[in-house]
Amino acid sequence: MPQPGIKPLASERSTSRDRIREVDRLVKETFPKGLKRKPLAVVAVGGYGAKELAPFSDVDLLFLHQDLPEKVLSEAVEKVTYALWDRRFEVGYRVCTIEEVLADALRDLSFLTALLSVRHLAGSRQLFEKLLSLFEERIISGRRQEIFLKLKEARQERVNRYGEETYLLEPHLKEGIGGLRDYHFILWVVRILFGLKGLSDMERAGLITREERRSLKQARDFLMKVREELHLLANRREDRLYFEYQPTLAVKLGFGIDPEQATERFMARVYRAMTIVREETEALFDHVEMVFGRSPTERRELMPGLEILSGRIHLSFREQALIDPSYLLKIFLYQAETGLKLHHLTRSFLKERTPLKDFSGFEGRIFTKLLTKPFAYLALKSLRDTGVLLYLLPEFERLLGLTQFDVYHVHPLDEHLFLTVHELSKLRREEPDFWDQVEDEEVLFLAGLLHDVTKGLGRGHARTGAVKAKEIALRLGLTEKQAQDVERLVAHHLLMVETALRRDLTEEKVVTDFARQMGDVGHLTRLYYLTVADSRATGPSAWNEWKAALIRELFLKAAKLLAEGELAKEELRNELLAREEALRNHFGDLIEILPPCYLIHAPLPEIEDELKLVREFQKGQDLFRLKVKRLNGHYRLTIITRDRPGLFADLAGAFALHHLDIRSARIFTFTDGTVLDVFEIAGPYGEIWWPEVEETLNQVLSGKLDLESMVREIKPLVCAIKKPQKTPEIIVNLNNTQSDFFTIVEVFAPDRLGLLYFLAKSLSSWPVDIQRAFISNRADLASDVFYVRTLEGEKLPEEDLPELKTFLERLLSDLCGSEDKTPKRPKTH
Amino acid sequence: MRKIEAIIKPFKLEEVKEALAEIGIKGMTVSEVKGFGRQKGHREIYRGAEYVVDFLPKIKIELVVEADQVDRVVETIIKSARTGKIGDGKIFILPVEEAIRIRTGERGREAI
Repeated sequence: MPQPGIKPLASERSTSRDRIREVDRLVKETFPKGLKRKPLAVVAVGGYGAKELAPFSDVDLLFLHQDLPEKVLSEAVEKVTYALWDRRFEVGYRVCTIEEVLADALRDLSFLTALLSVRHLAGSRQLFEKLLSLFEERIISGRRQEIFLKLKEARQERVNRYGEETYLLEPHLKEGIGGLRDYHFILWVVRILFGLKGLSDMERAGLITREERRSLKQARDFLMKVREELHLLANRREDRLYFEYQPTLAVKLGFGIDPEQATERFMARVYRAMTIVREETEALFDHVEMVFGRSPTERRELMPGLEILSGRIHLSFREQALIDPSYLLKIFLYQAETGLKLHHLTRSFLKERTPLKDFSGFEGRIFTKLLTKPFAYLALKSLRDTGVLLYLLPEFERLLGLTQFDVYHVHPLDEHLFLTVHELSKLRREEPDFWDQVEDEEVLFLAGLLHDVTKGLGRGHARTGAVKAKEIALRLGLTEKQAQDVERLVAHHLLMVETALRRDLTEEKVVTDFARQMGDVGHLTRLYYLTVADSRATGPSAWNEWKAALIRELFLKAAKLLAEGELAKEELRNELLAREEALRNHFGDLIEILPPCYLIHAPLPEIEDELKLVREFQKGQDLFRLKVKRLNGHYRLTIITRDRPGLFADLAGAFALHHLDIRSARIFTFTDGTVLDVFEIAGPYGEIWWPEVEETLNQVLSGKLDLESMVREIKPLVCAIKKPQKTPEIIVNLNNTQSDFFTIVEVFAPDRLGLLYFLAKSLSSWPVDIQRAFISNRADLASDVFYVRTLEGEKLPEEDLPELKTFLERLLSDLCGSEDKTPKRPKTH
Repeated sequence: MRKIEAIIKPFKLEEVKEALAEIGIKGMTVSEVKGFGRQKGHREIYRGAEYVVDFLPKIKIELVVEADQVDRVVETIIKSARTGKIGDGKIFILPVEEAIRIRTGERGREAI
């Protein structure tokens, strides 16, 4: 319990420096005066020793003694620690002799590192000095490499643990990758290996540049400041930046007043600081490993002025890199090809110096080629680390560390874009089936890098990003056509997920519209890979097998339409587009219900006439609408009605009753259930008395006739009697693969009166739903194609097809008077 | 209390969610699931290669309501999830013994 009158120091706002001064003073004051001459010293270790003390950090003390009795020791410990506890400091302490300290340090790496920053606070200075020299002599020297390897291992464990994606959104300021612990690692490593103390020593030794020292110091100070505020806000020792704390801290630390915006800026700053610390840590580790490497001097020239040195890419014509951007970019191109890191001398040179010339007129294509190479991700990180990226793409200045305020995106924006490129490269290996249709890798990878380039600049980033991406593509030297393709990809980069997850993919119209927006297989394939890569680079909750299945279904269906279906021919696609535009002006939303095959089945004026009729039908209450047009020697009959089971059979039956010969027919079912059929019909005597036919249609469609028995009873007219063929050729084909939405039934048979009726009737009784039909009867041969589905709107099950085929074949041979089969139905002639 | 489990088509989720919100349903659990029933998987054939999907992606919605609300909820789900085609899904209704809100320990009606 705190004693009355003493303020709890811990929770008080104070700078780290003041806090340390205060603790130092407390320790010195409370250290029993009577023990001053004894071999006893109080030593600050760990973070406190290093003068890093956040409000709720542990104060780590070492009571170092030389064979003092228990009683004396506990007096000292009590006096000092109680005073600190009273001020609500968490105190961690050890009471040891020098021998014990050294033995513990060998066993326990974290204790060893705590001893790397020790300060004498009170008591025997002599004892303290002795510890220092023995520590150096018995622990450090001779074990430098061994300790380094242990540190490296410890860091790797930390990377494994804190590299998880949840730590990206809610970083751990201390243990996280690039956190304060990494900063300590840098200091420990240079202390142990080279005996250097602090950043200034490192700069003097040439390990880091002045600029690096400055940015490291800034990053560390910033992280310390955030940690300080975090402790105060959480009112306990909390080193992880959970979501709940972010907005408050952001506003408090002066990143703005609007919490959302402030948080974005604040977190961007945190990520940048942690990125700097991480990169410096990794660079140092790499440097050290190289020094210890087995063949540190092995050289191999890649091109004049560029070589592999100690397994790293090394730039030897340094100054040239500053005046020749193309040469500079080659370094990174080699990196992307080989996966080798930059030599630390090259890295620090590039970080230190800025290119002397503008990046205008350079070979931007080197960069776009680099993106397609297997290790592009590594090269991009080096480009960012050295700052060269910003000469190339100044647009990335804004994106560095930019947070995306949602739970899906676990990476800052720049990292997300890099990862998208990385995922594309992985997809090339993992999902190669369609890769050959990507056509232009540079376009795909550049779009991957740029797809979110305007994110965070207001709504519609796909649209604005597309414009920006095109501009960048042109600047980098891509052709106008390539730049347009990049633009299209960026513009569409959300479309595929939206369509696959929010629309009914068993609707032909949905897939056709999507496919038409795609335009060609190349673009569709690129968009497919971009979509998958983007999702995989977003985070674990944005991608799974479930989503993959939907995206792939859409891709395959659309690809099939574009590669094999009615959209396969470019002229046809353009024609379709043009017609849709033309019709939209007159008919508005009506065109949304039309299948594409309808739009191109006849010349435009005819379609316009038909659609006028559709509109009249939809406005009125009639059972059907009929329009007859006399053509040369026959009639064209357009009939519009509502879909219902057996409709097509009924129409064909009605015509049969009047001995009308159906020369051809096109049957369309619109997505709202309106049916539009166009028949070309010839009468037995030329003229047809239409009011009579219309009356029959009326009766048939209102279900007033027993059509089946009537059709069976009609006798062919004398003038229409044909000699039955000896062996009528009957072919029935069922195809389930040509279309993703329909089973296609194809029939060839000798024509006869009522054939179409019985055929359609049989299909309906199977039962299937006839959605579309293309009938043409020429020279007594009926060639009929039906697009059918089950009544529930699916293709027929594969296993039903053989049975249906046999059923239709039998029916046809009965109807057409084949002699080698026993007829099941009574012959009508 | 009853638990209502509905399996629906993925693209119907928004519609169902909105329809339920309109009748005052305030919470539900949604999961991405895969399965098949009368609607079997499908296969896509593209460039000669066959891509088979055995288990179709569906959405499962779970919610717990008072017994007297069940009919309304079921009706709402049917209305908003129906396309009339195969694979529209199913609704299951299960009895619930007890509901407890972890934070407060409230039970029964209060907890749902």
